[in-house]
Amino acid sequence: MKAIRLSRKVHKWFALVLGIQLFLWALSGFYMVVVNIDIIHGDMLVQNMDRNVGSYSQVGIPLEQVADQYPDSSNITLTAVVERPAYLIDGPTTRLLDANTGALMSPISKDIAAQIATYHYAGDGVVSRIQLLETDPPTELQSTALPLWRVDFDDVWNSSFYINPNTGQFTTRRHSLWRVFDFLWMLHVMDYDTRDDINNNILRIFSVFGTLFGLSGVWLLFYSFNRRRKVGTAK
Amino acid sequence: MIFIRKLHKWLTLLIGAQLIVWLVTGTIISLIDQTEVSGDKTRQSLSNQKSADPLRVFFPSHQLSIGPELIHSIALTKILQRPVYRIEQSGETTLFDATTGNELRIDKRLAEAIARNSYRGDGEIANSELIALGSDEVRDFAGPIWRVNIDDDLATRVYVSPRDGQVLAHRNSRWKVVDFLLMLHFMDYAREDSFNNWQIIIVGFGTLWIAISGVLLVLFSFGRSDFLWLPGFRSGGTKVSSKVGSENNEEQSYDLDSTLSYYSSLSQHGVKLSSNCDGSGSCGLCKVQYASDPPADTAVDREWINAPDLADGFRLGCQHKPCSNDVIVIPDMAFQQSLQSAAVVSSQWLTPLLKEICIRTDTPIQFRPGDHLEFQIPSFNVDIDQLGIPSECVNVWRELELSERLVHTVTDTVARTYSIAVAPNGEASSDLRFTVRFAPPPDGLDVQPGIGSSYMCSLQAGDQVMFRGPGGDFLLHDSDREKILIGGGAGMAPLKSMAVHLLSNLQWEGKLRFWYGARNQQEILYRDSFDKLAAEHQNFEWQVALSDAHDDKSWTGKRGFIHESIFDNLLKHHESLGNCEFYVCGPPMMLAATREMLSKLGVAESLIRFDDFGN
Repeated sequence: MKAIRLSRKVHKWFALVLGIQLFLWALSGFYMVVVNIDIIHGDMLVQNMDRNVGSYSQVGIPLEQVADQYPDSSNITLTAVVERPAYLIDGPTTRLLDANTGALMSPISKDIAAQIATYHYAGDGVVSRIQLLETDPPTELQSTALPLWRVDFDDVWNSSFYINPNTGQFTTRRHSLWRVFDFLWMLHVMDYDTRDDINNNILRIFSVFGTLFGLSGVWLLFYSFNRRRKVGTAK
Repeated sequence: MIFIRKLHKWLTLLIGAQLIVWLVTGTIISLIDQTEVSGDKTRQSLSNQKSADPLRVFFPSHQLSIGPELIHSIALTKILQRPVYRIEQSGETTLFDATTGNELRIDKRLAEAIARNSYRGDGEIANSELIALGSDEVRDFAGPIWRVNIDDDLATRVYVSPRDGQVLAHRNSRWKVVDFLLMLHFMDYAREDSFNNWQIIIVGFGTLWIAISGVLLVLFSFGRSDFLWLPGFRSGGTKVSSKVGSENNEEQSYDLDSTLSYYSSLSQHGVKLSSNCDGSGSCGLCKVQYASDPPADTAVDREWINAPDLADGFRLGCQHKPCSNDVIVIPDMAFQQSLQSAAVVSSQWLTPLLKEICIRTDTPIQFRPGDHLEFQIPSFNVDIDQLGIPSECVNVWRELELSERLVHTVTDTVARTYSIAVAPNGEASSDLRFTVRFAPPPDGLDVQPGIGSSYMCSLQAGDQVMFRGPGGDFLLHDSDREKILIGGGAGMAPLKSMAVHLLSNLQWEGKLRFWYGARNQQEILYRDSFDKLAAEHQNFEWQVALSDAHDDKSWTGKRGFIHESIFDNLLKHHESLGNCEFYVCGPPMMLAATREMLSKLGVAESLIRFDDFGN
């Protein structure tokens, strides 16, 4: 009878100290499992993701000519930007070249960025804002290098498409459910800074004590369902 | 609250195992260094892998034998030092040596070289193999895959795609552990690399409710008393000045803690209102009377105090906090600081669970019929075998499934009130009796038996008891109206005192009825003495109804619950109900049912007095 009191007390005080985080774990965890990850990734917002460079023989400038022209490049890829063949040149500087005319396309303009974004956009909104991000990445772009064109659409998802001005590539997309996911993920792993360090000490401390709390719950549960032991009054 | 606690408890029983799995796996994953798990610690960054040589081409690209499938990209790149063409088409990737134009295959030697180039730890390649069916360590890559094993501490293996020579993954023994833990954390038993499976959604939904109910439980299960250990908290509340007095104690100003109830704040000043529930609102004893401007009554007030008394400013002390300039009147007994003592003369079991305790007070006391004494409950530790339970009752006790000992350790002063079961005898008496029903824990509830009744039932001749009192407000009206006493179980005590006082002491000639409910014949208290009283006094009616004696053929009297029996047999046809007054005492259910019955009959509340069982 003493132990049940103690178990209840331990559980209650643990809950007072850890309660908010435990609640946030349950809440953020539930969101993450219940909203399909493909939706979080925004698969429903995009189209034309399979690039098609058409027939190589019809491309105006062959690969090796580009290699000669840019001898410091490490990697030259013939790809397609809005259905037009283009060369993506990796090297000390990254460039985008029109594969038919050889003209330098990068850095791409605001209008081209909007074109690329719209080409890949499968939603029913229209472009509401375009801006070039060069410094101070927003929280939703923690791990992505700048500069990037941000193209916002006025749909219910508050979609934002990010286009790399040097490569013309559709780098990534963000939308409301993603942003909620990211915020809840931050709460879940308790890394309020970069949101990707799951080895941070706050999380470690809370998870260790959270586990002890869970075990105190098991202890309490044992008493809550265990009926009083039968002890006869007569021997 | 009970529902929330039940929800919390049952859901946890159902899915608690997974909660522990989540906590344990989550903890371990956060404790394991992620840069080891990902292999990044020993993985060469891509920029360091590139060779500085220019891309030199000898084989013209338009002579490459490219298949007819849709082309996604054609790249001129390098594998290690060698320039290659990489052609990505739907469903496949083809490599051509840019020097010779020959298709380039990723053979064992090349795969190992690629792996070595991607690795920067202190291990060396031990061996490698082409796994034809793919690896369950790189689940998103189907088909044959090169696995290059490195002999470092973590048994790193580098996976290389035979299609295009790309390094697909670095894996190691840490990764293996975390991969398993993540499978448990995501409940991804089918290994779909997904945490959107139905089983986790169901358990997650349950967990959300455990969390919500848990937050509510935390909010409700903490009170001031939990924080008294904090410095400054004990005396921390704001003080207000209230005037408090009683019939025989002049009003006096007290600086009371306005964050506590009257019951608790007065007790800090040594003024102790009676309570059997320590101020939790379930005994109705701590009545106080506001001289003016009483606060709005609470549901608990209304449960224990009838409408006329509420209108007179009566409230429960545990329900209201002191306000400045309150003037309240409390019972005399609350001011009694010193305890009186008495010796137990005898104690005997009248029924299997009901004990009669006779005491002799050191100094005679004056009391009114219906009054109670308040006994101090000291620490005790008694073997149930020492309670003197008659052998024929042992079975009843065994069914209670109690612990072997009744134990109580005093942490705070605890007192319980018991009604005096004898009539006053002249000016003052010292021989008093009490009927105490042992209170086993309610079925299914894991709590101790009532400490008051445990203590009282453990008393034996020669024991010393300490008490305050007498006091109480369950008193006879001074009137000629017909008096109807309705009692149940141990609620006999004050009613017996009243009946005997009226008949034997006062020789009262008005109509007096005593209807008593018991479960069976064995439990009819003081049957003989009431039978005798009824025979001697024409104006006294004594009726018993048994509620649990269907098989008892020897019982010819009334059956059923006492409130139903008295309604059917007496009150329904009673011609002058308006001229009757009622005195009700019994266990909570009986009390509630009887009060409801009387209220339905339209009996004025001012003519009903009641006392909770055991008070």
